[in-house]
Amino acid sequence: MMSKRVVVLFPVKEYEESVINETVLKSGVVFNTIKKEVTPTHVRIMGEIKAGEEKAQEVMRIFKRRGGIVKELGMIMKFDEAKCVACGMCVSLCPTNAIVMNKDFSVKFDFDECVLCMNCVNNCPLKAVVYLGD
Amino acid sequence: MKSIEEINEKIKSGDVVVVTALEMKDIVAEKGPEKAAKEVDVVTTGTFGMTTSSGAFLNFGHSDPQIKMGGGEVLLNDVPAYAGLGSVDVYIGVTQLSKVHRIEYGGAHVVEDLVNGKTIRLKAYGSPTYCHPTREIEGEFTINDLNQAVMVNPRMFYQRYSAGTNSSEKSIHTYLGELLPNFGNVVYFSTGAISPLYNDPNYETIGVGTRVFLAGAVGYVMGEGTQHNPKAMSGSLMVKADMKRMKPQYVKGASIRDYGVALFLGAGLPIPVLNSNIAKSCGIRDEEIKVNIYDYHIPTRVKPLVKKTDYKELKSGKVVIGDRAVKSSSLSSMKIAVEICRKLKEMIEKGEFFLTKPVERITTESVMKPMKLSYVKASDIMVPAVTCKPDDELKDVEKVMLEKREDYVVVVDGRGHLQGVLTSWDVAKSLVTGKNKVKDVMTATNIRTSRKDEPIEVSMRKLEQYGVRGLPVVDDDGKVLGVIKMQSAKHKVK
Repeated sequence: MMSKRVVVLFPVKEYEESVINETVLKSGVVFNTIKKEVTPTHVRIMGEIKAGEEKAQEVMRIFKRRGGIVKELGMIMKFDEAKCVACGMCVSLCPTNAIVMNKDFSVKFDFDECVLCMNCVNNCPLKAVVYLGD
Repeated sequence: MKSIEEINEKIKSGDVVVVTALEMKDIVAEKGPEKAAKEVDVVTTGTFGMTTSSGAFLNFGHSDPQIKMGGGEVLLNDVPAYAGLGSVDVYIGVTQLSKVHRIEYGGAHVVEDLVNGKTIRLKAYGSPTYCHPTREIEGEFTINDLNQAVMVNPRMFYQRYSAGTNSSEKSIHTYLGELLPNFGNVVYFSTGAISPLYNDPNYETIGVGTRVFLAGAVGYVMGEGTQHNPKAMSGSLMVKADMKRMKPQYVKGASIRDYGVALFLGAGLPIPVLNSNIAKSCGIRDEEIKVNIYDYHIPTRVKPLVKKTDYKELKSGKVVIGDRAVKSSSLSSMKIAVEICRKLKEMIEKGEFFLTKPVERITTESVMKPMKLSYVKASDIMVPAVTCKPDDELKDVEKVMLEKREDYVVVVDGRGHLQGVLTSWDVAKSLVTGKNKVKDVMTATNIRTSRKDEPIEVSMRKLEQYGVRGLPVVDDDGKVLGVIKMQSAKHKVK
């Protein structure tokens, strides 16, 4: 099953509890909420759109119409392969399968498996993986 | 069977057969050591990992008027360098932290920047003399401005490392990086079977003067390295190389979170296959190299063993601990180590790298001793325990507690073995619960204890970490010898 992970940031004023369910009903696409965070100004939802590219874009458009700022995880996490020495420190720190070691001993990131735990960002000895912010 | 001179002749004529350590494993397994020794002339081994005992001697040339940095202070991009040398010689050690950026930038990053040809800021405070009147200088330089930039690593190609994990409920930060709680991950070092010293563990070919590949430059073995402990398969070599010839991709400064700075360094070592014994050694496989996984949550030098494993399991990415498969990863790059094996192979095949005969052998006898110092042990600090029995009446014990002004009582059985602890808080609770026997009120599970030879710092940390009033000191059988209490411990430890 194709999936795409996104962070949606709703200003508190725009946010309604039902927005996720309404979006699911309207698009017919499953959205799994992985993390939800409420700050004084924003509601930040990180989740996974269970659909191919075209349907995923539709879901993202609906979120935007409802006042959300949508960012794909691939845009807010950056892995700089040129900086990486493939020591592998991050591999065992990753709670999901977002970081794996290839057969040729290089390190591969798949941000569509990422839960933004920041273990890799906080520990990379060469700062080869960075969080660019929402 | 073969000599180094013969192999060098073959390198000259282009007939030399070189294989990487990775390839050699299969050749030895398939054809046996006799045949492998006939067919293969050189095996290239490699490593790329974190080094902490590493650094470089730099010579700046004289200023006008002259400065005597020796005995003064020298900062390179705000990182202090060792200046207790001649007038314009310094040694920059890789783990030294920047005075400004702390662990974000250190000696390792200075070394990396030098190899990259970047400009380094120099600030020096001299110790002025008649002929060296300058007190202070500031300037900028690159590696090309230096007379010499010689990397000297007191401990390189370190053979054996243990792996680490963490049994506690909190993340800990170690030189292995972050160790996640509840055995969340396992971290190890070394490239295992392709690491140089596993392929010649008896130092038959490696010795003083052995030519090596150090970060792209040609380097030499100076002798045994620090902590060289060959009897425990834990050898090391001291090496040097001209830093001006190093390649940036093999020299990387690293910041280990909440730990410090280290240098990722790549190096290769060629092993001439002089006879079938050496071929056999080069056939060593990951599964033959045993590695102990220790619990790094315990800060003593000797840590509890969690599991005995090998590099095959560690490199598979999953290690079974108890009934769980725990993710494992390394701090040594197999990718770049293999690249180095291939690069060195290519250099030898092209006739750019010749082998050397050692001028002296490396000792296979030395052993590693722990630091000798006097430390305060738990048994020095402990006080006699006020004890009672589980079946004692609470009322009697309360009386003793009042008389002795004691709020911490150790509950022992007839043989003096630990059964539980009773604090004034437990006694207070009995007022509500109405229980009147010691065993109904005491704390009997998860009692934190201390060993009699445990450094007092470790006991102190336990007291703080677990928020307990005291620690019963027990021997190996669980017999109570005394009690460590926060007040008495604090008093003795500054």
